[in-house]
Amino acid sequence: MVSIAARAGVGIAALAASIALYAALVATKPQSEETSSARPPALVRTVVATPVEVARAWEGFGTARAMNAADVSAEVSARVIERPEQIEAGAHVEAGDLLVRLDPIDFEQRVESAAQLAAALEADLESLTIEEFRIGEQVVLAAKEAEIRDREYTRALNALESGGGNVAEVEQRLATLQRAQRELVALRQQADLIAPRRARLGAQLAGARADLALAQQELDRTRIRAPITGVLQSIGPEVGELVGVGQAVARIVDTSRIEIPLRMPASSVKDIALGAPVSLRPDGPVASVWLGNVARIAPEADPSTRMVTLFVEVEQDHEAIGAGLMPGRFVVGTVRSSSVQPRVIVPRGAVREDRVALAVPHGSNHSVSFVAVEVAYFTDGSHPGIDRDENQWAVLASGVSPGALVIVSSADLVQGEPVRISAQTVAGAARAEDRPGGE
Amino acid sequence: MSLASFGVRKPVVANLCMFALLGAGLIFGAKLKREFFPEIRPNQVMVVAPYPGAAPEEIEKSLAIKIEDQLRDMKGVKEVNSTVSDGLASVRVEFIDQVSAEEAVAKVKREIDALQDLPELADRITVNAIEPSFPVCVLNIVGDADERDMKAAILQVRDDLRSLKGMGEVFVGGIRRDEITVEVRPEAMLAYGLSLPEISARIREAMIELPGGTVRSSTQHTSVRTMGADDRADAVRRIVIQAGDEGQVLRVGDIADVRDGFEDVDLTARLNGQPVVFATVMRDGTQDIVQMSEIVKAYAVGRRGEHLKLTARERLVSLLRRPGDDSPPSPRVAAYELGLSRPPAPGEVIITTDLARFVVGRLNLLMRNALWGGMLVFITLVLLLNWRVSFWVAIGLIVSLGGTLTMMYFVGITLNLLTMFGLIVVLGILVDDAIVVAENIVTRHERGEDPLTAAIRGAQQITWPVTATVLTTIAAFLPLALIKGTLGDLLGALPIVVGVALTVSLIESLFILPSHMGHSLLHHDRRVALHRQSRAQRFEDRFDAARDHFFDHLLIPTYTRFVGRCLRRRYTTLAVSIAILIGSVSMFAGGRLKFILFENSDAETVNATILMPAGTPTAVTDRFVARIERAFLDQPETKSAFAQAGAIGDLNGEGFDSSASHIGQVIVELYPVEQRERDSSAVIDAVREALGEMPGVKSLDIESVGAGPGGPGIELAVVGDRPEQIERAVAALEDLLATKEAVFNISNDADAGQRELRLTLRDGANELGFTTESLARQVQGAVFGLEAHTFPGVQEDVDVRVILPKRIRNSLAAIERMYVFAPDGRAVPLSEVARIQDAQSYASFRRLDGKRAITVRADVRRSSGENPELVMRALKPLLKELAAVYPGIEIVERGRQKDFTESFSTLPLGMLVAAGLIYVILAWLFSSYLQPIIVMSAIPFAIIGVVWGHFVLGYTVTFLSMIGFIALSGIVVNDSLIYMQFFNEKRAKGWSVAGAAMLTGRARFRAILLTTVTTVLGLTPLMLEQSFQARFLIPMAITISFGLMSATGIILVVLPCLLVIGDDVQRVLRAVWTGQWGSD
Repeated sequence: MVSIAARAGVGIAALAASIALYAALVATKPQSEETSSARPPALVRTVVATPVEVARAWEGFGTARAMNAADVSAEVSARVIERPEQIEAGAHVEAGDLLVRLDPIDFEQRVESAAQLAAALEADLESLTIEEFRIGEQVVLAAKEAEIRDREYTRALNALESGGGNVAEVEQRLATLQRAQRELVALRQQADLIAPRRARLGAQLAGARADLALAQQELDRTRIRAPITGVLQSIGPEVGELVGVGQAVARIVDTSRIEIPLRMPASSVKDIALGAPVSLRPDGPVASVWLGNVARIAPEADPSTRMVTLFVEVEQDHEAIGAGLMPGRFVVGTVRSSSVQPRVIVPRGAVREDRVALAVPHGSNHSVSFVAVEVAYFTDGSHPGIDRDENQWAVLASGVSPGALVIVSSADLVQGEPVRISAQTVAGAARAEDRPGGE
Repeated sequence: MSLASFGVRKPVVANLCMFALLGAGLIFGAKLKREFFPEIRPNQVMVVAPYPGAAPEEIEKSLAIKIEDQLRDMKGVKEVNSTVSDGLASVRVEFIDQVSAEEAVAKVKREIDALQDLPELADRITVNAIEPSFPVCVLNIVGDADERDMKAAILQVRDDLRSLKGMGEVFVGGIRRDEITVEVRPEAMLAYGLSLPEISARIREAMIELPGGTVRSSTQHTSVRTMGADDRADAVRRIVIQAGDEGQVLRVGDIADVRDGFEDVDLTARLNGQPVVFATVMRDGTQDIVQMSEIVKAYAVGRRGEHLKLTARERLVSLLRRPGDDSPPSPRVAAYELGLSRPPAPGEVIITTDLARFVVGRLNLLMRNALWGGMLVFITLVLLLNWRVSFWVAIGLIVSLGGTLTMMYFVGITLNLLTMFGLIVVLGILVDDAIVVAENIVTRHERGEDPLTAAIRGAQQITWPVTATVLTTIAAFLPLALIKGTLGDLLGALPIVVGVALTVSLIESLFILPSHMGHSLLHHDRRVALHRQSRAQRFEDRFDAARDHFFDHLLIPTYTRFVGRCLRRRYTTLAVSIAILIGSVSMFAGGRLKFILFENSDAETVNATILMPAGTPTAVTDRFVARIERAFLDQPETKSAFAQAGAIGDLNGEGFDSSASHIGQVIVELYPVEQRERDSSAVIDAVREALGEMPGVKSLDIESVGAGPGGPGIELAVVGDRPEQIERAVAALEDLLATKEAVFNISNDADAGQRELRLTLRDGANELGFTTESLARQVQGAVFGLEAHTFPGVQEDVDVRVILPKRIRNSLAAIERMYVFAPDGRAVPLSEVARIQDAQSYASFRRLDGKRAITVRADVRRSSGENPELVMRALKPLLKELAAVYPGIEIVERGRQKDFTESFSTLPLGMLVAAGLIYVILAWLFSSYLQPIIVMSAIPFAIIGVVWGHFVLGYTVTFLSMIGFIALSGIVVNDSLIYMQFFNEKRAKGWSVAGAAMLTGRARFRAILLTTVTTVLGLTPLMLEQSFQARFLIPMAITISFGLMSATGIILVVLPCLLVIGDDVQRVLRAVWTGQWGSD
């Protein structure tokens, strides 16, 4: 019995111990460790909203033209007999340089004949003067003779009246008187005609002189000269060619002053002042940049294109043709706004749906606060003081105060969410030239 | 005539069968396809419904919900999962396992076609099966050479590999498509009043072939065609854009820079920090991945100009070739010769991500363990039985294996990780029935029967018990065939392999082995009778005598005495056994022995995936990818690191490669486990520490890619109808997860939306001739370019893209400053007619089974000693509470938890079925209702060995341990079945229960010990393996070995007690019923 009891006891004890062990192990089962600290807030990268003086860039386009240019045409028709060697397209010419010489033979002859004619007329005039003198003398004489004959008639008449003369003598005296009077009249008439004759001769002389001048001018015109200093755009006729009146001979362009009527968005006008600098680049594979200034602004905008025209002038050394802006070149111009005011700029990626997320202090950390912003415009450039890696920016008209922390690193945040600021936040304001994108 | 009788009387037939099985095993075993995992049957279908221009909410209402409702009610649908984004709805339908891919696609197409009231503007809906595929290996060309040379080289590699026999599909990566870019100068556009769409249209018109009709004559028809331009950049440059009245023309080359280059996509790929182009070889059918890998490696050797070492087989084939026959002796050599014939690659040729080495490693492991296990088993048999039995049992094992491999070939089962694992498990079991049969034959012979009679009757006597053991083992493995899901696909072949192996082994034991044993004993007897024993035979006899003396006079008597004491204290013995069982179970229940689904403690491949906020440029993503890459390359354990930004490759074989600018990946190969000091988890931890926190990164997942399923440790979907409610619940869930110390990297898949430029027409813009569409097209052209034409090419089509210079495309400020063109060619500042806003597109969202869902993911730090299963167990009650706080919200397990729950939900039923089958088999065998229960009672006691085996050796219980326990239940039953068979015989002869139990124990002690020792020794080499390949399998080996040891002890000690206790109970009941005490 004792043995049975002992065995039973052992069995029961073993079972009890195992059940107790089970309960103890289950009760002290290792649980998944918990942490007392709250879930760390999301780590975000921020930038400090910094006012920066940015000048907005506006782009327009136009075709350059020379402010001074001359199309030289032939004024006389003749054959080209000379073109100086250096006169080729692209050559620089000074005002007055000979471009082309036409054959002057005809014109010399014309000058000669005109000169002869004028000389003849001068001689005639001189003759007329002599003639007038002489006629004047003759008139005096004729007048005296007419007086004499008149006295003779009078005497004859008196004589007749007095009965001493005869009618025939009176008539003879009268006829003589009348003859003398006719002579006088004729002479007077001649004398009177001197002036008109002189005038006519004078006129003829003037005309002849004019013809001469003209012929001379035409003779001069056989030497076609550069009217302005500049560069030959083109030179037409070759030696031996016949040129006609009005035929284009050369075009000279003064490249020292170039004007570009730059068509710009109409909205840009408010930002651009006279004298604003303009950077011009051409179409083409070679990158060149010229600088000009806004000289004038057209008063009207084109309603069909919503553009206004700015007249940009570029002054350059007209001898630097290769490097200079050539007239006829199509260019795109960039104008910076004249009114530069400090504005808060943020990386473009920080703005979504006209909102930015700010990290606002909240206890020992920060929390997310979305604010509405007004984006004035977007710009390119480098502002390492704000963000080393960013080169696209949103310029804010309103919404974010300077010094605010703008979250740039994540889009999946909600209002009020706690965040931690990454050590990569760059502090400090920056003032840097805003370089146009890609240049 | 029985099988044994036939085999003994017709030894020639038996031997021919043996040779046939051996030969077939060699031939068909060599032909077995090798792969990493069994082919997963694709049972998912993707329905893509584009709806251009529609917002996600609109798409959800008008398209996604309708499609879901139509599909969810279909028979066989398991889950419907949708992603709705801007302009697109994708619906993924998962079917139950019984539905094939073709059937699934056909069903879905029918349902989609039946849909009505779909939006008119929606595009055609497409339906496709999702085909998972694994990369076999990757051939990389690493170097800084010209991009065109690198591309040409890798395309050559692709074409070469595709041309080789036995290859699968080859995809190239790290290259960009050829593209002719027409980079138009904006100044030129303004100068000539040309818009990008106009230029694009002119190019397109010039490129179109214009059929001019047919000229007919009386004798023939002649077609007249105006051909388009040649596919060269020069041809594009010559295209006339404008022609003046005086004959002056403006050509494309005058206004644009035309370059024959590559598309401007953001995609970077590097290997070990250097630019790389690569060709990924994928299996697309039933190719052997080891062979594929060998072919690729041989090709790489050829490309490098190195020497290829021939295998013995190849050398032999070369020798046996006819003179003049220069054909390569194998596909591998053919690949080598092809590689050698090519010019040197413009970079270093490196092979990475070689999946085959895992397969080869497993195969080698199998061979090695089989060899060692076999040797140990043989030695044990020699020591514990005799050499004759050992020899023929060993032959029987080899024959069984040969037959198994042959059957696997004809059934279509491949040699993969799981089937190899099954063969390792079954190695130790295969010999059991042979040992029983052989030992019985020997025993009968020793009792005086002549050899042939002993062979026949010995086999016949044991036929049904042995058959029952095989059947019970097969039944024990049956539940594995019922497992659903991916795990089910992986494990499904296991019961087949085990069943086939055991069946062949049974036939061998009952047909071939008796013949061998009988004639071997006959030969031995003749020698003895003629006194013609050799010295070895005499030594053998002396050894047998000594061994038998040890067993019969030492071991067995000691056991008998012990069992006698236990029988006298049977209730105490039973109580103590139960106490030990409870104590063992408490180790598990009390968490001292941990459970984890898959032990991914170490791997040779690490996959890091980075996700930035949507819209992040690739260059920014690549900066972070480069940091991760550098952090890994700084670790001494890193062998190679492949990094890409802008794309992610799928390493889990689910077929979900993706590309987007905000994603990136680093795939790291570590040195073999044996060559490094730290495991992959430690390396990952070191990398995480080196990286620190990276602001702006949405999530960074770094995981070891091991044999188990990939993905984050914790994956939970928050499902509901109200988005705001879901978001709040998600936030609360993330906070809850964050309270766990071991949980980190918490993220969710809520998508805030893509970055987009929004264009709004200003007042009066219409009056200038602009429409939103015309403006949008010009701006789209400015930002993305316009495709003007596509040249058909030999290897790929070449697009002609009209674009603006990069400085404008990438600058919003420049876009804002650009000019657009009215229909009449007038240039108008864009800022005057439209407002550009940097906005956010509509957020995409996901739906799960008809409701909105956001999935929360997190990793668990293993170094803390925790694992995802432990954390989830702790979280489960809290999750219920959380769901209760948010009405209408459901929190659903996804990922590995879902796989586990789904796969093992049917396991209890399967185990019940298995237990039922085993009961029926035993009941049939014993003709008793009670005895099967007594026999099966040994199974729970095996838990003792399982628990302490894991605990002592320091391993965590994994799902393989559970599989091992399932296998163990069949093996354990075998021992007690043999015991009961003998017990019943003794009882039938009139012995008392206790007497029969004692006698049975004495008689079956050696046999039971042998089967246990052989099984344990068969698995011992595996348990002692230190290689990385073995770690995965060791828990299974521990379960079987230690479980069997403890079960053997129970069978030899407790089972007799149970039998006597059972007899006591019967007597008591009889006494109560009849009122009389009596003995049997």
